[in-house]
Amino acid sequence: MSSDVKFLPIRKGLLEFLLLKIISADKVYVADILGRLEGTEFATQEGTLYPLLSKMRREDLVDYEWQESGAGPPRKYYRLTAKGRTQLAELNDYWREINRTIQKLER
Amino acid sequence: MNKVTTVNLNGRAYQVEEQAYEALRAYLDEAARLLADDPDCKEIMADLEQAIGDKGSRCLGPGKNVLGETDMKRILAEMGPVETGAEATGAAQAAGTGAASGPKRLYLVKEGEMIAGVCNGLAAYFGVDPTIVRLVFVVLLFLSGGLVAIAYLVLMFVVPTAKTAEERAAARGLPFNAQELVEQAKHHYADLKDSHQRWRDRRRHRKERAFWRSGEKRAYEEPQSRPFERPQPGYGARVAAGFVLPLISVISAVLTVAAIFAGVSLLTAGEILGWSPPMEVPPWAALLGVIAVYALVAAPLRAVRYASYEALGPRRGWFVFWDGVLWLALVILAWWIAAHYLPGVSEFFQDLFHDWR
Repeated sequence: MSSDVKFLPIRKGLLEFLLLKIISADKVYVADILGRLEGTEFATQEGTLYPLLSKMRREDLVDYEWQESGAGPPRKYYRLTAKGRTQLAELNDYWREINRTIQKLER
Repeated sequence: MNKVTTVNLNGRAYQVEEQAYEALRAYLDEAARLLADDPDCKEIMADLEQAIGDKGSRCLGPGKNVLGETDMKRILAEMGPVETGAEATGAAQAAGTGAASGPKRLYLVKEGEMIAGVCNGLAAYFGVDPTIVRLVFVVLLFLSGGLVAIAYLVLMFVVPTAKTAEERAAARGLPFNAQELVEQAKHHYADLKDSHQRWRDRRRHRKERAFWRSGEKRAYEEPQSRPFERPQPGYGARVAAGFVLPLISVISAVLTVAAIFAGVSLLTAGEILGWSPPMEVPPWAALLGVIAVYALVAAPLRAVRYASYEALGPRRGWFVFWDGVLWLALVILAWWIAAHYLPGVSEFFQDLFHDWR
């Protein structure tokens, strides 16, 4: 993991993309998301995640439902909306394009 | 020995030591400050409290029921600083408006409106000439037996007015949802109450001023009269505009009726006042020709109308309203006369009405 401050905007920008990817696979709650990102370059904390998820919900990309957990209070389980899935597809395409460009430039 | 406080984190009580409490307080205050502009501030704060509480519960066990300072510091470090997505949102919005020139939505457009700008707004929304929308409106008014007028009134109060440049662009460029609809209606109602209040205030103000003026010297009053109003057009120009506007309305109403008459007679009898288009010209092309001629003649009239509106100055609202009503009334009157006294016209509309059903 590079701690170069120059890479920070890249990680920040990609975080939303990764959230869409993680949430698209399954209904997840915040601890699941944090667990998936832990140990990667994108390790994230609640302080960042909650505001971001709430922004994505306002943009109608994700939605949540309350679900009782075995122990403790009910949890918010997030899933993608139709708009979120479209956005993810677009982002996937865009990401491939970027990769292609980078590879082309390396040659 | 440390003092212990009980805190409520999103509905659950936790025992924390005083220093832990201070740290928690500082974290949550900072979070609230950072999220002050976030529309979901309350919800996010509740989520954060819940998350802190969950982490706290995991520290606690049968042998431990108070959270200490070190526990709290660790929990808060795990939580991480609150980051608002402010920059990210800004960028996303900029990208959105740049890419699709903003979503289209329905507004009342007050530039060149007849009554309230509903037809004008619809015309901007669909990207057609306002006159066409007005004609369609009048036709629908007859076919629906006046129901459309109610629709017009509802739209007039419910649709927002395009005030800023962005809104005017958007008027041309999302249909609005039900919640906004209700909000708008409330807003207009509040405006209505507000303007009534202002009107009463103004009347009182005028009375008081008249009272003072009778006693004091005029020169004392003069410099402070209406210091922040736009320069008004000359009195002569306003009087001229006041005469010209109704005249223009009458002319344009006559013109509109003539255009409709020409169109109808073209479609029913295949001729206009004895002149029929050459055989090879299809009826729709001839109709387009009529519309083109109408638009050509109506354009300078419209220019004069707008110039007159300008000349009337800032307090032209009611005048413009009545001018629009006059236009509409004349068109409806002409229509009624035509429908009752010209057999071809009434047959045509009966047919149209029949087909409609």
